[in-house]
Amino acid sequence: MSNENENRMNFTRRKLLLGGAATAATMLIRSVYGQVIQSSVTENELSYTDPTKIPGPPPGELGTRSMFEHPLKKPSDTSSRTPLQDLYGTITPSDLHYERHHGGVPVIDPGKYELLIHGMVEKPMVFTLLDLKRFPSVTRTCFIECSGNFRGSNERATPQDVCGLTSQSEWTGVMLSTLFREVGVKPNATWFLAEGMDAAVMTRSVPVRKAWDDAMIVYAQNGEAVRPEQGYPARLLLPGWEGNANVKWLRRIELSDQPFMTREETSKYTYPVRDGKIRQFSFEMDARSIITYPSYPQSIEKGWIEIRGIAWSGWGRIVKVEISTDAGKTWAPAALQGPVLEKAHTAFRYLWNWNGEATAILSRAADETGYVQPTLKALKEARGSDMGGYHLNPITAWNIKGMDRYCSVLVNTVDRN
Amino acid sequence: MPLNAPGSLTDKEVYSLAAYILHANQLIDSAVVLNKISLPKIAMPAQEAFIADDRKGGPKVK
Repeated sequence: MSNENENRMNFTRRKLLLGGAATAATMLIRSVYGQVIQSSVTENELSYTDPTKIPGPPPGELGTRSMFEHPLKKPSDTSSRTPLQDLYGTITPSDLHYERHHGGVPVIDPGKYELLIHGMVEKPMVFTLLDLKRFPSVTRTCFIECSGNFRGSNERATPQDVCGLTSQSEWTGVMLSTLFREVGVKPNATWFLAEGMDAAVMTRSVPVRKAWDDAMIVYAQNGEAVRPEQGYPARLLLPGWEGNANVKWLRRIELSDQPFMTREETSKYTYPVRDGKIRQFSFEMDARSIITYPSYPQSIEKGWIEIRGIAWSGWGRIVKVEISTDAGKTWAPAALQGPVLEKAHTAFRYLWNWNGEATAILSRAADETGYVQPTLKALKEARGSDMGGYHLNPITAWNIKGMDRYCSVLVNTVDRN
Repeated sequence: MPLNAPGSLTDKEVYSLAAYILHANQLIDSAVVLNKISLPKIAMPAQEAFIADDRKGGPKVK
């Protein structure tokens, strides 16, 4: 019997054992890191044949993902979350970038696109997309994170569930300061309104100082035109600031000497702090980290494990990520993957020799301002127990429950020291 | 507004709806007529509670 036939017979036998399931079955496979993990397999994968015996398809016009890879965003009625546990490095593939919009994704003809800049300026101007592309182009890599990016108190939450409303791209566009010089922003203008052309007509007020610092209007994402879900054909980019203020499908900017008090900066995107006060215009995203491997619902084996994850801060660079493998009693520094960019997802890794006993693993990030990622308890102490759901960045722990040779990993975001 | 037909209300309908919601929350009397002059004069109760963001990075959790 040839090897090919033998393989076929093995697959057929396995298929029979699996009850001839037409699509997904579950099997244990050994990963390239030597860990045994559970994986679902499709009919196509079961009938896999020797690739050295069949010519593959010819060159094509558009690449596709491997038929064996199925990373997916996780949509709800209001958002769609990035599968952080399925990603490597720090760039989010454009089709896996998280989505949050308030009136759906608009269809905008780039030939008809216009951006108006007016208000307290010397010379109100309208820019077409071609106009924007004629200005000096700048490229930078940074994350965008929704300020409502926290889901706790669920033992069956994956990294995608806990904080999948953060994604990172390489963005290309024009510095907003370049356009502001073009229209002649008046010295007494301190705020600008950014308005989108979606069905929500999203509006946010942004301090002018952000434009002189690092704000951009971007028309490209990861080497191609910005995706519709991320603001095609052009959006505002405010590196490190809460996602909502990075207005997508941008059509108008109005300069003023005061904020406009829109719905999204009064009723929404504000949160109670102590003494009956409500914090408003809370823009920077504080430092945060998440272990993406191992995490729920993965299983691990006793022995050497490389703990991996990402850390980021809206205030600047990540300078340190510490790992605890004893439920928060002791901490040790993880290695950061360079180059470490400011206001950007930064990959970390930490080698751990697991003895097979139940424990919890945690990560905490520190940024260049000296800020250290807090526990949920510390956030509650600072803001009071009624602190709403915005700008929460607590340390996340994964409980590892010993279970014979294989061990289940469960999320637990309760307070830890 | 409404969510399934964005931007379809007339200005008058928007003022009327705003008046209904504000009255239902005991912020205006039922006789008040809202228009471009009267609406901006209404002080929303949360206005006094708003404070600017005091986070500046650094070791203190805020």
